[in-house]
Amino acid sequence: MEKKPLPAKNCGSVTRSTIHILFFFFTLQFAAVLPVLAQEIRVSGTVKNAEGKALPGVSVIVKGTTNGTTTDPDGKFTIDVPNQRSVLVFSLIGHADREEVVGSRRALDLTLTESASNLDEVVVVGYGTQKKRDVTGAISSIQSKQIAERVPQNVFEAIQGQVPGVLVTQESGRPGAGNLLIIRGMGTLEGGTTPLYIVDGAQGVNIDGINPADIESIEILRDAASAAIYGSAGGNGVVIITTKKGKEGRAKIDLRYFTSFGELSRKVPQANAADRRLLDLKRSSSGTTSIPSDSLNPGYNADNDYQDMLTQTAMRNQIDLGVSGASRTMNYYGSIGLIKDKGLIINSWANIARARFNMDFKPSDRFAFGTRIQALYQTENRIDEGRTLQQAIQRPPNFRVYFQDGSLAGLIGGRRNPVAEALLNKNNYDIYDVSLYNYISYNILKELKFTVDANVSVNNTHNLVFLAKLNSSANPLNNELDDNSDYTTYWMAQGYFNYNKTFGRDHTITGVLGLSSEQGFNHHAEQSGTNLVTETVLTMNSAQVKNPATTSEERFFKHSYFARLGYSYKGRYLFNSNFRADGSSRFGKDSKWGYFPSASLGWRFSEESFMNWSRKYLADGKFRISYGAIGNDRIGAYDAILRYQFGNNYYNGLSGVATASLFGNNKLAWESVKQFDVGADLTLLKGRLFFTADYYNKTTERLLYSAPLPSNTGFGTVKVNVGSIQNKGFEFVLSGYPIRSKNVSWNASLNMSFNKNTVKELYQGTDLLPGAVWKVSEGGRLGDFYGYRALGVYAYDESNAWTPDYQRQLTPVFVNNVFTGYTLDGKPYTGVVKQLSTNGLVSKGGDMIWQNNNLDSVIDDNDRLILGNAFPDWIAGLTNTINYKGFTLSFTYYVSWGSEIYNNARVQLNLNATTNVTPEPVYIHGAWWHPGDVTIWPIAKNNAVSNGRAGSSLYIEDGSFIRLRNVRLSYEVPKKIISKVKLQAVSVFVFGNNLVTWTNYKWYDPEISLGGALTPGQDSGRFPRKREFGGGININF
Amino acid sequence: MKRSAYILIILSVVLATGCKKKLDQQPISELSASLFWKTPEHAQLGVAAIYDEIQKTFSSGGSFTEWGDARSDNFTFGGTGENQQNIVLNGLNATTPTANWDNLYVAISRANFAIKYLPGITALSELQRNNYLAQAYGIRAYMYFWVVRLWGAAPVRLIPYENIEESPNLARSPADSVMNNVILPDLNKAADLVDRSSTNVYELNYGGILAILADVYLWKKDYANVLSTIDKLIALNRYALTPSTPVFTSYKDMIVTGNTKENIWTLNWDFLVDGGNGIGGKIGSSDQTSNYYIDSIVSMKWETNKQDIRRGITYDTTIANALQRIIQVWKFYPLDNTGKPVVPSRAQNQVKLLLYRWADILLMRAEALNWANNDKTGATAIVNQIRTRAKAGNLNPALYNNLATQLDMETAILDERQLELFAEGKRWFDLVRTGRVLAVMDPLVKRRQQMLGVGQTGFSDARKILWPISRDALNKDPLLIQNPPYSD
Repeated sequence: MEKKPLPAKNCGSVTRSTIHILFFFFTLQFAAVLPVLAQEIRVSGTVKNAEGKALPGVSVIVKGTTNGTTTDPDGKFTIDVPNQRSVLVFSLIGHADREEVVGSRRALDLTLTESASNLDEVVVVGYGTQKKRDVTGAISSIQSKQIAERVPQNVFEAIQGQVPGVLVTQESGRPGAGNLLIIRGMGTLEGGTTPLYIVDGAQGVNIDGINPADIESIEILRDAASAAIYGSAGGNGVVIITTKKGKEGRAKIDLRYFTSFGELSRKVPQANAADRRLLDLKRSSSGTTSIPSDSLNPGYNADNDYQDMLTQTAMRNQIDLGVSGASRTMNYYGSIGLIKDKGLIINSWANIARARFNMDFKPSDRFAFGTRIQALYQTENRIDEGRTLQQAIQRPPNFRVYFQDGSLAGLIGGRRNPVAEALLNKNNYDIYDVSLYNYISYNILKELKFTVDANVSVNNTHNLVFLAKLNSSANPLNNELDDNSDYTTYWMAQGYFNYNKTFGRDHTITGVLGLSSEQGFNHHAEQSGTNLVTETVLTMNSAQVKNPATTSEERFFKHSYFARLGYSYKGRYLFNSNFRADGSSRFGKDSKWGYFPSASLGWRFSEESFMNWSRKYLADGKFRISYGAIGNDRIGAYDAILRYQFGNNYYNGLSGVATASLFGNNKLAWESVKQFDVGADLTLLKGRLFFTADYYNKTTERLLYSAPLPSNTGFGTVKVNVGSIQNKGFEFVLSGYPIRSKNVSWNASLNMSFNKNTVKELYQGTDLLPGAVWKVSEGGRLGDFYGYRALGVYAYDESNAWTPDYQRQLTPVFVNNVFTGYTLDGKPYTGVVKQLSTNGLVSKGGDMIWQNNNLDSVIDDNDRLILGNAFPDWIAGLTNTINYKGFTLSFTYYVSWGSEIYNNARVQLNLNATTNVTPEPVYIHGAWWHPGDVTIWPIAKNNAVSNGRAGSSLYIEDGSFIRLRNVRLSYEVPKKIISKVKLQAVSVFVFGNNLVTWTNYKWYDPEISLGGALTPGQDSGRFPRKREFGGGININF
Repeated sequence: MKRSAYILIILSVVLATGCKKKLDQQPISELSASLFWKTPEHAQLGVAAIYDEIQKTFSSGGSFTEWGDARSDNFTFGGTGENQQNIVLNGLNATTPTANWDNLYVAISRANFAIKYLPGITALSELQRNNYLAQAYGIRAYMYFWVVRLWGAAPVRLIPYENIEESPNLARSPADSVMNNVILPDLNKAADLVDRSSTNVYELNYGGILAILADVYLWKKDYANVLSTIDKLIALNRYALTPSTPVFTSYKDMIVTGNTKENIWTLNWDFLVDGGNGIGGKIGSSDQTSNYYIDSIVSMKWETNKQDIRRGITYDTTIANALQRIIQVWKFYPLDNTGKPVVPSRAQNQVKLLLYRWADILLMRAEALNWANNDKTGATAIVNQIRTRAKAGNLNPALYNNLATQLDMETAILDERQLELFAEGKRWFDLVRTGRVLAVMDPLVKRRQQMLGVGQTGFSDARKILWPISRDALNKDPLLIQNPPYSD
């Protein structure tokens, strides 16, 4: 019978006991080091700049330790060092580092000079950090200051448009909506396109649980050489998020509050009652309309503006409170943030609470311990767009929303009442998410550190769907309740060595060696029922008819070894190499292990003596080149196993057991991503101008996807490792200070990314036709729209006339409205006349003329062709920050260019398949009506010839846009004023998001969610993004 | 302190290597193939899954109606949906949803797995094992019979696909070959293996196997074998027509429960676990306009003979009296206390599909008697037996050219089959089998096209009696060739 996976349990419990042991060690050593502290020397002093102005926020660290502090607003610091030989390192962004041996000094005043560049900034890479000057891969950083300028609600908004090579799209405009982040193009079909997120060294942390205000920096590892240390998880790139730490000095309290209002940025043209009457007239064969023409009839006067009725002024309130501080041996940072978000659609809302606690403890030179705790609680009502927004656009404008007595109307003529749907139905989510991360590190030697860490995450998501009786389409009316919950756990434990030593003065060697294990588990439960006892009780006991309840579980496990070796000669010639071996339970018996090597080289040519002439202009210059292999392992936990399923194969009281539709491929293995990157980093004009550019060629091989199996096998698909996709691209950042004077500074940063995608090879060369309007084929691109080219509408029945080769359309001639014959090129035509047919019917006046791609007598699916592509040719972001005295103005433009959108919302609208779906006004007015009408819109009836067929080029629209993404103006209240009320700092700000958009796109918003790699770029009428205005205040106590 | 660091290092290495065996994770909520087909319960549940796939096949996209009735003169289109129009105007194309045969092959695959692995379950008695095998063989033959009748030539796989190294592609075998080398041998094997004492109508029992066999022989026009097979059924002495008095208990019960002396094989249905039967959305539900309305050609036959009890059972006579279009088929639903049927919503439809029943077999016998022995008297007697039960009065030969020829007799039998087996998935195949599609459908399609105001092309092409192979299937298997003229 079924065997319980006992070994798994044993192993899990080993881990738990290990964590206990680690805690025990920690306590032990804490006690042991206490006496050591007493021998330390206290040093204090002031740090100033070249002009003699005090410098606050300078980091002061005892070299070789993480023991450190920062200077206070007056530039003063106090720090304890172990002995006289200790070296203090002073660093501040934009300034050159300084090192001082303490010696016999107890007071230490010094000046920091402004450095030419930001090259001394520290960049977080996998399992360690690097100075920016030593980086050899394509890594972008975003700092907390940049994040604050965006007033972002989540991590994704903080990233969008800020770095090259990263495409961020929001799922929709609803409160709490998810996001999609793609680094350097989609290179996979089903392996998932989300990058790997590492939060303070841990995997498996919920990104939605992070308050952007808590982030110190975000690093994005774009090339394979950088991401290879994460092996099979790094195939889509890696995003490393580092959260804030407390800084030494007095405890600091930050309070931030803001509020905003949002409105529908644009309304979609919708038919009014007069338009609807015209439609009915055009549809009727008798030339009369069934809609009352009597102006006293209430049905005549009703003329609802559904978009107005369904939307409201959105409101967002956010308050964040942070407490941080540090002493000699420890630092802490704690925060709690609350968001109350009322969405654009009535009754849509989300409330989010996020909390964080970070603590690092360093009782001795050698020993350090830290913890990161993150918690999220989110509750929301996720309005079903299909039942509200899409219905609102389709419903005839003269249908009732409310009855005379003020009660809501239900379904009328098969059309849902969008207002009743939004108000009465529920789609509630309750999400609890906690991550707990701990590390212990120990310096075995001065240059060799060992770290062991572990992360445990737990997520519980409960989803309650309630459909009210009033909105029911059943007869008799009935209500429905669905109750689903997911319980997900994840743990990861890793141990690794860091090595860092400089030999002589010129040779520096760095290294990492480690291993890690991780496991994920999911428990899913769902139950549903109908015929509720009462609609006020929405728990399952209320359901009188219960559908069979079910639960299901799955688990995956992964084990890895990793290493890095770095070498630097005088900081001029740089070499880095990563290696990782991953074993995963997801893959077939014969291919459990994958190996991922990478190497990169850097050359700081500006250091060479032959470049001396250029020093005046070129402060720093570096070439980088890298190549690496990474992988993608994100497929179902058991896709490699031929499985028997049950629970949905019932017959005659028995729960049948049958093979899954997915054939188990026991050879299933990694998708392999190989990437070549060459880049240059230049710092020009004494740090006033920076330029970074990269070219990459990323090829995904052994593509993981569900290849269709022929029907005769009885299986639907099989996951295979066949095929390849290539993404080539170029990206650059140009940033600098057009103005940098005493009072005014203007910083501008432009980044642009070009990406070209090509599908190189597929399983058996078989095209994939996922969905109705896409085609994935060898030589094509992902996101290719595949459909029918609309060439117009036949004006007369006789216009459906073609030359025998179907190349040319003939022109009918009418004399006194009597058809007399055809002309071609203005000359009478007497040859054979051919007609085109569809679904066995000859097309007539008012029917669409489709491009006859294969030049036969029939328009069918063989006539489809590629009509566009869902991915932009290039994207760009332009960020500006202008400082004048206490004022800061920042604004960001975001551009996405060259994509197409399949506007399925309009397709559904203009289909004529359902009597009461009301087309858009342009269609109603333009639709062919009488013989001779010349128009692009077909007859407003369904006459079985597929005039509204899916994939019509009429609805493949230009999705390019330029958007003023955000504007923020803040004012720092002068110290003089606030010191009177005992505050450290106060700033006030106003901001706006999505203020202006330039686009040709006809629906709400061209910035739609891309969706999956197979079916991207379809707009089915998503929750629109809002135009938002707000203001707030930051207070530091 | 150094020591404790080493302990940490060693510990984490041990921990990590200890976890390596966890790389072999087995499904928690499903079974690996290696763990199934071991016990008698597995046999029972594995075979239940084959039946389940018959349900899915017939329910998906309303296939049962679209394949068996909607292309015939039983139904015409209801609303403005394009698919319905394509079906009734003979506008099928490769993207018509029900042109997809995937579900039929899934059922065949499930049977293949059962046939391969049932013999390995030693804990089963031979009788039990053979009875399960008989059902697997019988259903496999039944599903291939549908494929052959709808698409003609068919790819044939009789051994389950289990090895990824093996090419999954298969070309189509000619229809005759599938009939003679797959369907008939499977049915004969099933008849040998089956437990003849089983009378469960919701399973394929001996009677059901013989019924399919008779149907297959009739399709082949092998009338001698039709008669001998039906003789075996008669010899079972198990089946009879359900009496029609009182109407609303026994005859209605036969249709609603599918479990009376008349029923030979019925597909059971319970919407709570099986989902709503797709037949609801096609020909009658409480929550959507039917895709297909009853064609007046049929209703006029009843309207001219109102004492036929099947009239009131099949549809709402008040609508017919008011000369309105008849949008729902009532016959499958139980009656409420006012004597009116309660048509359920699509989600709660649990029509038990009457795959074979005694009236069907008797009329098959009439058809065989007519053609094999020119036995019009015997055939007429059977038709009258059916009509008497329906209180429709005896056959009026004057309506059928006084039954002058065998063809006239056949017309009378087919008309009776149309009324008796209305919406039971038989009519289209009756027309195809007897070569009457063009004669019946061409004028009808023309009339429908005229009413819709589109070009009157009629049924147009006898080759379109076969369905097109779906674009999806063609795309998945390069060895498949489209039925002409669909590939035009």
